Amino acid sequence: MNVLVCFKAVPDLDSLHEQDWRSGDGSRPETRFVKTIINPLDESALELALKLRDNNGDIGLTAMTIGDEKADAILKTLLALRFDEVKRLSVSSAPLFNPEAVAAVVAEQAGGNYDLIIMGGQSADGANGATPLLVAEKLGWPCLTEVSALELNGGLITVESQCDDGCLRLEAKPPLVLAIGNAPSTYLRVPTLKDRMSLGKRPVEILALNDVSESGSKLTPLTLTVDDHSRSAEIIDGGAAEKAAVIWRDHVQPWLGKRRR
Amino acid sequence: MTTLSKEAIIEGLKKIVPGDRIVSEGQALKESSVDRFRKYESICGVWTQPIPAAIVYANSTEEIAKILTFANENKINVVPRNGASATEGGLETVVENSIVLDGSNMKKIIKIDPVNMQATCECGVSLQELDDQCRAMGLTTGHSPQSKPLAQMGGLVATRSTGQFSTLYGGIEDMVIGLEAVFPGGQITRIKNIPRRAAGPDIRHVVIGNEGTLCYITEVTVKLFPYYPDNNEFMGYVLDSMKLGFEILREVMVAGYKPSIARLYDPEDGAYHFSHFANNRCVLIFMSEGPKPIAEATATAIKEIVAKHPECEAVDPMYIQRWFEHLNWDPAKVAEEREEIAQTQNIGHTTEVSIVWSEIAGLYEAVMKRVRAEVPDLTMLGGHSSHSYMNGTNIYFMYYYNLVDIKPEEEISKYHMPIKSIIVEETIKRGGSMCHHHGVGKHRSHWIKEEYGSSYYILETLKQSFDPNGIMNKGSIFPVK
Amino acid sequence: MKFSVLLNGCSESFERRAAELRGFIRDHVGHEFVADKTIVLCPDFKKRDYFEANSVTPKLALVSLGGYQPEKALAALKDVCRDEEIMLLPGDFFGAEISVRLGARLGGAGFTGVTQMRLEDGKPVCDKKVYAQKMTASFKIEQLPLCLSIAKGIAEEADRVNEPLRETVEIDKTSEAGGEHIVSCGLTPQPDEAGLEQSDFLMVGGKGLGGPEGVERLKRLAEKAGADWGVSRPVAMSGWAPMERMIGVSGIMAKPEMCLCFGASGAAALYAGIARGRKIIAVNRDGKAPIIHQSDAAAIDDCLAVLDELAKLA
Repeated sequence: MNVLVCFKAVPDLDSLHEQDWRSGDGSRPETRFVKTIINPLDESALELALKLRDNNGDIGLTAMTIGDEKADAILKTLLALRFDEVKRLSVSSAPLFNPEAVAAVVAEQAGGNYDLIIMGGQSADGANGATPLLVAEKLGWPCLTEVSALELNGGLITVESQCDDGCLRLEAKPPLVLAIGNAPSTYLRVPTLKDRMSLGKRPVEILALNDVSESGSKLTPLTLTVDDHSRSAEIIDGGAAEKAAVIWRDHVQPWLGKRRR
Repeated sequence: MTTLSKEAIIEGLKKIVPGDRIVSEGQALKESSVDRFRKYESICGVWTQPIPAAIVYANSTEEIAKILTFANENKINVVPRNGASATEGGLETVVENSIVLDGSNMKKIIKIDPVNMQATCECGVSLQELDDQCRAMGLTTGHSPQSKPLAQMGGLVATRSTGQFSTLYGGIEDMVIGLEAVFPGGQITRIKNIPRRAAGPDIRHVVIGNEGTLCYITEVTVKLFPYYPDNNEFMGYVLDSMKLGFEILREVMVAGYKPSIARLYDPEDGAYHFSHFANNRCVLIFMSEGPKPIAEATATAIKEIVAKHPECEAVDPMYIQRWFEHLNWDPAKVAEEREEIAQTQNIGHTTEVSIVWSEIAGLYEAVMKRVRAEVPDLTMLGGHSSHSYMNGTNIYFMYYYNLVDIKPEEEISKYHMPIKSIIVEETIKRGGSMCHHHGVGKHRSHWIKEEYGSSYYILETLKQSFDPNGIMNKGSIFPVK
Repeated sequence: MKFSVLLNGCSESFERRAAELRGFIRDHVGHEFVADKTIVLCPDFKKRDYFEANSVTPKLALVSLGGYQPEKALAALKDVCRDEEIMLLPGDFFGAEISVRLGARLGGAGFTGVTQMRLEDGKPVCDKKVYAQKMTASFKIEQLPLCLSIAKGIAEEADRVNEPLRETVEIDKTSEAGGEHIVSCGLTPQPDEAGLEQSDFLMVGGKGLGGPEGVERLKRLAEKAGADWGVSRPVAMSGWAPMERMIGVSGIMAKPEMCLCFGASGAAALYAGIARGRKIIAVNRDGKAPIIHQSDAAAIDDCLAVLDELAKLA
């Protein structure tokens, strides 16, 4: 079975300084000063794919991304983790709000080569929540969303998916697109220095891609603004006991008195 | 050691402090048998050290004196604790029925004195809180270890802590003016706050860095400095060679400049912090601070010195400034690390040593070579120099490894100690010190005689004189015989 | 410009999603848009009265599928929705997957997580949260039909306006192809047992709790104080608390009257889950954490220390 895992390298937005949210060029926050990480849901996708292979030896794993050279360190790590093939479709910047274009590229690359395409359900930055769904549409494959666990059982994929009414457990026939949701305990494992030195030195396949940032887009971004959720933020002083007393007596208790049940 | 039972110890303690400040059961007791040196065992819930009889939270110097007297009379091992951010086993309870004596309730800032530029506080005051209060008054302690959000003043002094700005402000030993400490016989001793004196040996140094093996520090007074954050200037460079980096650090120091930060990261360690710009090269970092003319002159001079080395490529200083703002370890970061270890079975530790300029590059190379060759399953091995002096610098080795086919308690014997041994051996062989700023704890005490050589006589005599019954933090600094 | 509503009548939460869409239309959709019909995917026509009673618009179309299966639903909707211009879907699992795929299948645009829709120069403009929920982006939709799902948990639930139902159409699509890839399917129901979405008094814990033991202390305080409790995404993902306790954009979107946050920095994804709260009180060690200035009152301190002191008072 051949599995394609797609990921996006994104800025570590949790570490972004408050000023840098506003100090970009007006259309984006300034993300130069934070590290590049694997989009969290894609990290889960990569680790779930590795776990799938831990339990079922005969699986070919390919990892693919669209973006600039910031992703190369991640790709080398994936090589060291024994991904059979890794490739980067090189563009000067990955399309942020154009999942149509990204999905078209993924679908074209996937061709008839894979049984399973796995990726996070949405990215931290663009948050379109559309790419895996559009890949499925372009390939005419079924798509399972909000996947939190997967197994392989004799050619069938068993997935757990967090739907509105509970946890769905589905057994399905490939080919499939899987959109990964919240999957607990899926930090990406760490390769050894030895594997980095040997396996990690294999080449990363880099394919130049024409600028796709506008192609096929059905929407035009107009404005991007930082939300302001500021409240009065009255600071409570004193030791822990005094602070607790203020919270309880000045805030919680008066409210409890008129709480409607 | 003691012949008293756990119950008898608790009975005795209850005569000194109320029962609600004595913890004698539950998870907290187990966790108090170790520190971050055994973080893997603690994550796995495997407890290899004797579980202490009790944790006691003291509220005053007098209580501490009574507890130490009780322990001394009954030969009960006492592990002094404040902040509990230790990484070298200093908080491990290596003998049965120990008392963990915790001073974190003693968190009164007694005085911040802007005239005499000194601050006095109890041992359990968190450095973060003290420094935040000082900064609000336009002052600073100048002390900024990575553990700042966790560490408390008594612990910082007891372990000879140093901070990120040490190149300008010095280590804690340069900051402590006076203090109060309690000895095992219950003697409460106060060293007064004076600018300097020549009235015999400087006895502050008996207390500073004693790691709870001689006395319990209950109060400290530290220097204050004016705080000029607006004058801070960051400088960052990427380069290919650690050797050149060490040479530039030396050039800056011996030319007489005092940057507050002077750091050099190797590519592996650098990749952990600077992957967004360093591109697997070494990173050299400086920060100048202080009154504007001094900060500016220091920055100008450093830039001129580095400019003489065309191999160094300057980077946007904002990279350095932003990185620096995220450097410290708070409880959330500690919790996150534990979770990552549990999930990935990948763990990291550090060992920090110091040595003179002429030996540093050779030491760095030798350690890198040996650890790579001798230790299995490594996922990262790197290091950085973070504290420089007129005659030398430190190197802080970082190492991560995957835990393969081991029981939790074998993490230390299969991986951590073999690595630490290589680092310590190579350092001592070259005349360096095996402990730059984490203290000896319980896992470098095996080498303490080699570390001290003939001067071990002085150290050993301190222990014999001040703690004749050997009740103070057994196993730390002085190996268990 | 006309729009229709598309709902999943096979889901237990149908009624609430219908109420949320009513609220969304009332509060988040420009008045240039006119509601046309409500399309409900349903197992069969047996519960016609129930669907009529909950219809969002006076016109109702019931599409029977046998049961919800996305591939089958899409095949059916491609035909049913062929003349629609704009469709509004709920902010749930169903809405997120169907909006994008149906938009694509109809040759138009699919769009998720919409917080506002208005008309500008004759084209719909939609707002949504991007960049880890920290920013709002506006997009002009260039190509209709538009299938959009609303942002989870942002709309108030609204009651039905007393307007008589004018027409109900029944469309039988039970024999539609789709879903043949599924070999077996089982559902373990996970209703919102904790009732956190409805909670009026909520205590939320973040990484500052330090571990499962801290979560336990939060839980005990909440029980003692008569509050509900939830956790941030990192806490749930670390396995310190069950996933169904997760507050935030990928978990529960709450709107408590009183909300106490312990050791959560206030990452936008979490904050979205409490942003509609009336009063937010934060306890966090880091005075620079966003939760502090996004709270009504804040204590800068070790969250467990304050939590334990509160437990003595509650």
